[in-house]
Amino acid sequence: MKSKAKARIEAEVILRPDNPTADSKKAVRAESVRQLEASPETVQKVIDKLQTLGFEVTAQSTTSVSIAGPSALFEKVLKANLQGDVNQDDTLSVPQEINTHVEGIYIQRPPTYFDT
Amino acid sequence: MATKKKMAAKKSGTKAGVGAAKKSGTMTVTMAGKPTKAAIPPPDRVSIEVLLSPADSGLSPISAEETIRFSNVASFRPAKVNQDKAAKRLAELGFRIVAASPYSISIEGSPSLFTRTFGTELEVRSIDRVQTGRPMREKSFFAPVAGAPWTAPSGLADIIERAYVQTPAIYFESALPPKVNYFHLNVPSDVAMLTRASQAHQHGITGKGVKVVMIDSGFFNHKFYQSRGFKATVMLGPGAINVKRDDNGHGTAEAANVFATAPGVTFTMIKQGDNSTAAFKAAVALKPDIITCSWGFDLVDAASPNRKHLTSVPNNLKALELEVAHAVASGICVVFSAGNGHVSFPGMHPDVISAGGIFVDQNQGLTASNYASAFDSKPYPGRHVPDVCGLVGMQPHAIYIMLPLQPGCEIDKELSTGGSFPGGDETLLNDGWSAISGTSAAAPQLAGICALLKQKNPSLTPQQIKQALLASAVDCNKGEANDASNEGTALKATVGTDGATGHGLVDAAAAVEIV
Repeated sequence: MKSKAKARIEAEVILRPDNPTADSKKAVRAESVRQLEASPETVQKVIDKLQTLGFEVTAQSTTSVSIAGPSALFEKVLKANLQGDVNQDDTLSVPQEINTHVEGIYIQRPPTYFDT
Repeated sequence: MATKKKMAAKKSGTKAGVGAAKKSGTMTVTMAGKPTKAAIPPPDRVSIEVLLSPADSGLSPISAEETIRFSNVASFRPAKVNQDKAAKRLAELGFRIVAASPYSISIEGSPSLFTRTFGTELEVRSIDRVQTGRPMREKSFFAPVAGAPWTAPSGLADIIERAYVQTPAIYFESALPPKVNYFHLNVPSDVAMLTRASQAHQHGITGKGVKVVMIDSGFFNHKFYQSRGFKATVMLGPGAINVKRDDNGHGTAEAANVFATAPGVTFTMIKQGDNSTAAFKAAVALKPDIITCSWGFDLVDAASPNRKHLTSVPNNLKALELEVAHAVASGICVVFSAGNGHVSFPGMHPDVISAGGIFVDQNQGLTASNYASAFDSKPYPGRHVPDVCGLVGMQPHAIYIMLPLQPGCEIDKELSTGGSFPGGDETLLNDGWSAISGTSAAAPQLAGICALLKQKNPSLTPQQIKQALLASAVDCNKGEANDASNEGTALKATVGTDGATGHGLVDAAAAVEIV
């Protein structure tokens, strides 16, 4: 349990567009992605709340915020169940204060390198 | 080999000339030759070679006047009984025996055990930066203090000559690739020739002024790059550490494919951590012309027979999908590998250039790589992977392009232990070279060629660049792709655009011609 508490978890917080005219659940293309952008104010509001909750914001864009933190923080604040396989479609619990601005929060895993 | 005079001086030496010492328990540690703060701390164990005394000859391997060669080495051979006795005594003293030969015993132990047992001193040093020729890789280690006393412990005095702390080897990776006995390609020359990038280079189209960002495992400044004047800026993506190292080796190797096709580009490596989406955002923030990625995620139901394709992009990858689409909408040309039997995402995203694989043999015949992926995407109906191909080897391991990487990194070790080609690449496990490919190689080759087009015509959109590559590609009508990427049925190469290779092998000169 001690080593688990030290483990760093990375997640993506997908933002809800302020005025959605496209469905982010459908395939997203270059021609439609602008319709899925959140306003700078919304992005900042979400960042502020996540930082208040103790998460490190590692990157941001107009469509998502990247966060990181110890596994215990994810378990406590976002109700993450880190035992066993994490379903790639399941969102973590979105804090109530920002749930109108957040589509979902998803744990990230490292990619596969396509070499030999 | 140490001379008698030198050893005599060591044996009777004093502490004179040694820097200010401080006591650390029973061990004297000095900071002479002090490493910088950035140096990797010394390991908590030291490796020691214990030289055994020869049996009868009276000769000492340390003080002998003659060099030790095959013709006289037997006269330095210790008695077997003494070898066993020494090993037993060293173990009793608390050292771990890691190897033994007739002449010496390799042991390990803590620095304090060594100094206490042999009544000597160690100091922390770092590898001389001048020695390595580059201001990176600084590594600290324990080394004997010059002139420090030394005494063999009881039970060993008559049977060992000396015990030497071993210092880490300096990497002498070569700027030139090793010689191997099978057909393969070299960078930059062969890759530039077969993609016909070299023809564009001859006309001054080298990618100069075009910004290419690669997101990968990092970049080690190998002599291959230094000697050719290929420069990379390396940045840490979120969660990544140690900007100067590439312990996996993948990024260092694949970067050579960019420089092969576009030697003049302004190149940045973003070393990614565990969140590729965050790294992608960091890449976009640099406002590059081109982003190249030789990685992805396998969108299959792994538990199903024949690796059934997923029909939608999982929610945990939606943020990455948004970033990729956003980058292209911002005018950035994005290249992703098609995968090596993987059903790769974002390699299947309709807005990226999806890089597949074609093997070019010694007679310049083209065959679809059976290592590379080819499939119709289910999350994006109508989308076929790949668009166009780069140079990729064949199964079992796609050992094909000799690429530089950090000596002793994961890939360097992995392929060197596979035996003869095609099981292994026949390079050494720490020589800083591996013959690899996969569609990991194809993506940066295409990215470099995209840079050539962008130099020729800076106003090109990502869509126009893609269209130019497709329209100018060389047809491949032989072979088939990796069946693992298409639910067990390999797509074949045929005349014209086909399932295995898309539009065929990229042709840089022809593409440059039409933009």
